[in-house]
Amino acid sequence: MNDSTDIERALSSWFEDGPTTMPDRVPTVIADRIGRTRQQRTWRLRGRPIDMNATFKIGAAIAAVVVIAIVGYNLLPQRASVAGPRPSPTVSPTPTTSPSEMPNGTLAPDAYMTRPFTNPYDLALTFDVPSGWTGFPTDALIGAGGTVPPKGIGIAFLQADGVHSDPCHWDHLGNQREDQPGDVAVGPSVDDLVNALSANTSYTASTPTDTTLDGYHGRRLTLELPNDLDLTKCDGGIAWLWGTPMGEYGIYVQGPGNRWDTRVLDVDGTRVIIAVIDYAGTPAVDHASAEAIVDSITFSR
Amino acid sequence: MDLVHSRGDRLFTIAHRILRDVDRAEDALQDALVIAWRDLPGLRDPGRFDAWIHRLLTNVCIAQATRERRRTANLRVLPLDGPVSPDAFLDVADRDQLERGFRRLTPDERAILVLHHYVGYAPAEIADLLGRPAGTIRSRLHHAHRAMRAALEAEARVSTVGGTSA
Repeated sequence: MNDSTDIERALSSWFEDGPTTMPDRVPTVIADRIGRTRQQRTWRLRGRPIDMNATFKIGAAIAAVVVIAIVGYNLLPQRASVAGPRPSPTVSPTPTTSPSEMPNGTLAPDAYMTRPFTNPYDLALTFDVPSGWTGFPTDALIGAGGTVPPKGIGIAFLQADGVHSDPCHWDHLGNQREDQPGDVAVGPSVDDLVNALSANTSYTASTPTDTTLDGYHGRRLTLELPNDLDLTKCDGGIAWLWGTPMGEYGIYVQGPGNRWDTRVLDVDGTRVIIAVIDYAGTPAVDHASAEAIVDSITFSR
Repeated sequence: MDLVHSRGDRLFTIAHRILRDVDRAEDALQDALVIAWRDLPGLRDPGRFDAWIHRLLTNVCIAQATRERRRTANLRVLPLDGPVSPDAFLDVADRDQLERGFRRLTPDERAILVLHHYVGYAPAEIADLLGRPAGTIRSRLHHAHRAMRAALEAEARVSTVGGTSA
């Protein structure tokens, strides 16, 4: 078996082996995940044109079909599973007295809840928001002046998969996707990530300190990008501090001199990053407002 | 309903053939469909939905396989998941060697082999799908064929001298 035809025949035969049906739980899990996922949005795409023409309507129609089909599929009789049982995630129903989900747009002063991640999709953050903030579901809030230099501010809830040794050259896979790992692999712990960020010389990192939020322990440090950062020379015209796990959202560097006051917490085994993103010129009152929001955060599932 | 049933199973099998693991294939399928939902507004030509979602899935699989390669210092040969259908053309030793050879390929090469031999795309179509030059696809396909052939020939040599495949 060593000629071209034989190897192609062997491969075709071999690829026919294996499971041919997805596990039964998949439609349920996907329906739940997309129920907590919003579609393309603008902050991370700042500077790129957003096409909102008729194709959006076509796409939305297809999306609706997919969603309906996925949900409807759950009503079918269960098929035999090709894989062994794996614990299905369980989501506690949100009590009717819980704060409302953070909406997109200007936030009235109130308590809000958001589930910022697709994995774990049931981790909820609840926080108090004073006036002057805009919701950017599900993983960010933006100050009244936006996030642009020299005075902007934002708050982001993130996860990381590795660190980019050079934030400006982050597209290691060459696909322009934000959810790709950093080229510096890091372990799963809080210290793994904090140590990798501290060791990076592309930006200034403060000495990490211990921190606690809602009883969860972690480390806190501030990362400050150079004032002469030229984003036009970066991959895709943007810069990323760390890699983003597949399927999650990330927030890219918002401009030269951007400061990331970064808390890295271990929330029951999930490494959660909470960053207040601003600049040296951001008004102290805005920073204090952001601090108050972060300090009010509670976690639940 | 039929849409998800037919596409979900097909996408899952493609992911499984690339990743060679049921759980990782399931994760990839979930990620791809969630990303598809997220990015649907950017799909300009609904007529290319299948190619579009195949590209999404393949990119997810390549990314996942890349991460896996980075995390594992040594290649591991995992047991096959799911049923193995009998086929007189390939014996157990052949399959074992194909498994080993396949895992030594780069994630790109694995995906290209699956897209070509399992899904049925021509090299030019794969190039279009993955946004790579057609020459690059043909070159990687050639290299992957050579590597897989070498894996089978290694098995044949071992069998000839009376050894067994590990």
